[in-house]
Amino acid sequence: MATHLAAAKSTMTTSSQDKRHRSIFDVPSNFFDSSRLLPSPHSSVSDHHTAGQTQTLESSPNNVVFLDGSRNAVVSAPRLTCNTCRTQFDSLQDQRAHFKSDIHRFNVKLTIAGKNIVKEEDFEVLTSEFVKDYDVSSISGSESDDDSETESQSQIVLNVKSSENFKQKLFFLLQTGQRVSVWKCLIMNVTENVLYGDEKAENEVVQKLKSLTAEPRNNTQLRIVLLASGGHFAGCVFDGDAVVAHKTFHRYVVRAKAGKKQSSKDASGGGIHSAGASLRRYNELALKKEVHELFTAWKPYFDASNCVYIHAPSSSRQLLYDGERSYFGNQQCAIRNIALSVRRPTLREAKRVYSQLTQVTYEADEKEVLQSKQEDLVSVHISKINSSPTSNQWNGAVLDDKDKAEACSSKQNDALSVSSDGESENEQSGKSTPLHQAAQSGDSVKVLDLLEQGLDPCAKDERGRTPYMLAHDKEARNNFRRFMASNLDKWDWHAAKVPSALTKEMEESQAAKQAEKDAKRKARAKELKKLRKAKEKKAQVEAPLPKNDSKTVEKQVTTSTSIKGQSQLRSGVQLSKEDQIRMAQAAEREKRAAAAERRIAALKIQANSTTAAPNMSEPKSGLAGDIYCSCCNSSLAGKVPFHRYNYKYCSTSCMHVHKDILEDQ
Amino acid sequence: MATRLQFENNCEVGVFSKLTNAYCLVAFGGSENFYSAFETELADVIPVIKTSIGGTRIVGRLCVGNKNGLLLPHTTTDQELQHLRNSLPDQVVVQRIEERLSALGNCIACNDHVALTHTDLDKETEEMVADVLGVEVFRQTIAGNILVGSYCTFSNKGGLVHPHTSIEDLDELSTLLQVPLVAGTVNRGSEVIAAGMTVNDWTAFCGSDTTATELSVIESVFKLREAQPSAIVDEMRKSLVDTYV
Repeated sequence: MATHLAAAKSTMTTSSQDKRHRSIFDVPSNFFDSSRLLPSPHSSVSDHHTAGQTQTLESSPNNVVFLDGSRNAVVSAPRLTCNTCRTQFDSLQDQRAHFKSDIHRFNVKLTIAGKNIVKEEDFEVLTSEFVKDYDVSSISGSESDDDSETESQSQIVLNVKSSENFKQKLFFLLQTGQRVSVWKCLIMNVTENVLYGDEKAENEVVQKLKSLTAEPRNNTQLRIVLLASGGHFAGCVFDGDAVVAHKTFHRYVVRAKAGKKQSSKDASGGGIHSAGASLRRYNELALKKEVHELFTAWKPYFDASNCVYIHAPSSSRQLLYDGERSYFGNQQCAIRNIALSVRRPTLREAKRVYSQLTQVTYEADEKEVLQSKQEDLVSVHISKINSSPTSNQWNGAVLDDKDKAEACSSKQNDALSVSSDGESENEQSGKSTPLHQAAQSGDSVKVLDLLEQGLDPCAKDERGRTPYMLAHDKEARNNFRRFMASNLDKWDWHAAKVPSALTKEMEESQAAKQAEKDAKRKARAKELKKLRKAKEKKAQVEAPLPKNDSKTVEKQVTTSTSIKGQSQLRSGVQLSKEDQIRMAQAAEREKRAAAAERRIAALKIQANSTTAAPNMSEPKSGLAGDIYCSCCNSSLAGKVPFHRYNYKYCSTSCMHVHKDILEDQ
Repeated sequence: MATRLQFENNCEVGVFSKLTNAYCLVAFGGSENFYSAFETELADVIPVIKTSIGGTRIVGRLCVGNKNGLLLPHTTTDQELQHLRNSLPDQVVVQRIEERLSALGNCIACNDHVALTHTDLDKETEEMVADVLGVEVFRQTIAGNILVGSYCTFSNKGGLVHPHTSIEDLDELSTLLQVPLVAGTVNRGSEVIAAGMTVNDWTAFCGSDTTATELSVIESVFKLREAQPSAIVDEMRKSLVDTYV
């Protein structure tokens, strides 16, 4: 196994170093001989022996596996090394230069982030072709605003070309058994369909490629790249790999902070009359004029060209086209849209786009392809995790290949379309997956969908969190557990940090419990309500009704309003102000009435000069029992009475007895 | 010689002061003790300037400088800048820089010839450091810490780095900086070296918690025992004579 891995590793390293960036014009003219067109990067044509052949072919002696410099170095006083980058230097000058270099800074950052360092060769590749080629300071960390940005630089290493849409590429199996891909728009329109399986059509495609490699380089077979967007224009004429002529323009046509091109507003009639707008209008015209002048000047080039690649999104198209007719076109040259993502049009960008277009990319090795083919779509992830010990030593190119395998798998989940595009890989080092996003957004349906599509719930994001940890939504979490219940063996759920499965029965029992609880709560609420009502009624009945009827009526009215008020309150409606005032008035009146009664009673007592406590008409009425216990009718004079409602008692036992009596009534 | 002192009962003297070969910045304090400790040691050689930076007293962590210049963070007020310009010798360039990382003292460690910087500093800042301080700038970490300014301090004679620095890194760094380095601590085991002490070519100030052992390490690595302000001049004269004769 070890030797096997070693062989594979050396294959990876070499194939990545010397072959990844081959222009189609550099390959020998017999390169595509007897090659075959493949519908996808991993469709199999050959059987196992080709794989073996590939390996033997690739692991030739000139493949040097990187040596760890620091291991061999002797620890001595003047130490001309860089421990971060594991390199050694001949002189102090070299060392100092290295410590000032961008690769060192980049590696330091990678190390701090716990990532593997990149080697100088890979770094050059990265900076030249992917990291913004404008200037090196673009990889300076200070530009990053959010913490995801810090990741992005290291991700660049991992997914240099993960955005490649493999639908837009053509895949070939060479006679050596290697798989290569070229951009489809290099030789045909993107919209054109290739009839896989049709021998003749496939041969035609291969023939086209062959003719491409056999083209004479004498300025008769030119290719022109025209990029235009947002007031920038770049045109570049290529002969093979060489630049024949180039021109760029920039005019101020997109007003800063205006949100979008103002010309669309102009077209709708209501023109803008600010100074800036007139500047912009002038510049739009000027740009168009300049571009057209360029086209006339480049007429010979256009005549000699056999293909023009254009990138002119939305309104920039007007620069190159007048309606359907292009300003530069001649009959024999084909005009094709560039299917790559194009950044701001500059000469550099034009060169980059062209080199990408004309590049022959080596696809994943046979071995890996077979591996991923044998297992189903789901287990692609597993296979990667299995192979991760070696992947630590693989460099960007290998990861590329893995990305591609991933791209293939994600293609099958069409549902993921957008999110899976750039982020579908979950390397050991950690990368957010669509599942993470779905979990975080609490999209429980999508979570279940993705799980069913076989996304790995154990995948960790940049901060080592599994999707389950990100799910804050109860439903999303439950979906994880549900899926765990149904697929207990499929993933290591412990690693996915999903605590326990959620089976149907459990859910049912939970629901039953909940229902029971609800019912209990309701019953209690009802009882309470009943009790309260009963009490109110009692209070109403027991309310003192001596003297005048009008008062009792009034009282009843107030109690009824208070009941109403309560019910209203319960239903969430506020009592009206008038009601409150009326209630306050009623209470006032009642107090006055009570005082009057007391006075009359005192007079009576004085008049009779005998206590006739038992004769008191209503012993239970709070008013009369001012000085007597409401239960046993003993005098409360000189005692501190116990109060309950408006009753007074001599002792707590009296109170309890009386309470029972009241309740029995 | 190394001096032990406190700033208002705080041993992190490197936070409240900045010592270079050409000037010394000291934070405003409630008592004069801290200031006078510097004054007695340095007064007749270099100016000791009381200042705040951006209204704070953590001057040592916010600014970075050497005999050639002084870099101040964008939080520095105009008044403070003016005050420093007025107080510092004319040959010291004072510059305020627009850098997102405002604790320059934590991000940059330097002597009069080389500087180690935080990896996330802007390119412009790096250039500024090189121009104003007249140093070569290297981006490096100290024992895995990106705050190089906090975890190491070095003069033209020697340097003290984070105690967890490996031997290999130590050798590499001392080759790079061309000064002898030692891994060690201050303030009875504090690994935040630069916060616990401030040093120039002939003197050092450490927090009062610093043990005798730590002090002796510091004195030997920074070569403070034989060092006197005049010694530098003597040495320089000697080397100049050597070159010209």
